[in-house]
Amino acid sequence: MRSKIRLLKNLVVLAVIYLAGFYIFRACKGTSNDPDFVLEDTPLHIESVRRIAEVATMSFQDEVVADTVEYFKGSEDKWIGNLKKLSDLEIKHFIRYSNVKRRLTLIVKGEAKVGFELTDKNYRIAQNVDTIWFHFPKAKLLDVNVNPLHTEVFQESGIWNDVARQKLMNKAKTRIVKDVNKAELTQKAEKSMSDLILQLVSDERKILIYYE
Amino acid sequence: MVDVNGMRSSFTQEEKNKILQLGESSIRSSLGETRIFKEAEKNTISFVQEFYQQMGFEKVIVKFQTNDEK
Repeated sequence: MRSKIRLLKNLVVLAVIYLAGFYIFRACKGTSNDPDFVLEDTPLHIESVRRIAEVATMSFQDEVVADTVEYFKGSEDKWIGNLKKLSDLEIKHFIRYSNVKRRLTLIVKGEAKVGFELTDKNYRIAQNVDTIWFHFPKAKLLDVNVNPLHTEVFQESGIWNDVARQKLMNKAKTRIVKDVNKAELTQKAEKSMSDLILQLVSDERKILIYYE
Repeated sequence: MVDVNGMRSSFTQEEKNKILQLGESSIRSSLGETRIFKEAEKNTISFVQEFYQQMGFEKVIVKFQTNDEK
């Protein structure tokens, strides 16, 4: 009975030492929320400048969650993996027993622009005394912007490389494109373009606008 | 990005994202130093002139307003 109490006491002491060490280490290390990064002044290097003639008549703001998770294979792997998590000095894992080996979740806010690419003079204007005809190409998705400023790492456990993060960003981008297609924005962009043309052309004549 | 110190061997993705955010902010704030806005205005003038010339206008004058002038 005494030896059991002693064992229990020892276990409690060990647990207290472990937790104290954990919190002291964490306090010294700081958390990734510390705003201690500073970018040194570096000259701006322009890789390329491209001339475009795009008229974006619809903007679509979207927020998507992109997640990737890896599970332990089998119970043995799970036990060993969870023990390894405890021994991780860098504290990249959540200290709890679970099936999850590692996980990375990003919240990505992106913006899609739908409109017209008017390069190569691919639009025509014709007129006579009582009518003006506009022929424009069909509206299309011009651009999807996902960038670091609007990306939040919501959850990160385990070690992940840059390729994994980039893949998640691409996944988010694909989801935004799907959402744009669902929202049928090309029709709305064409309607918006027609309104814009009517504003730009104040003329008594009849105005006909075609998208082909 | 590798060794930081003896205790930490690499940055987390959260930390890397913060560094990328700083980079993006820096590019945005430095855009004024480039001639990109002037170039964009020049291209807009040539597009608008061509648009109205197709409608039969001979002389097209384009003026840019600042937000205060609107």
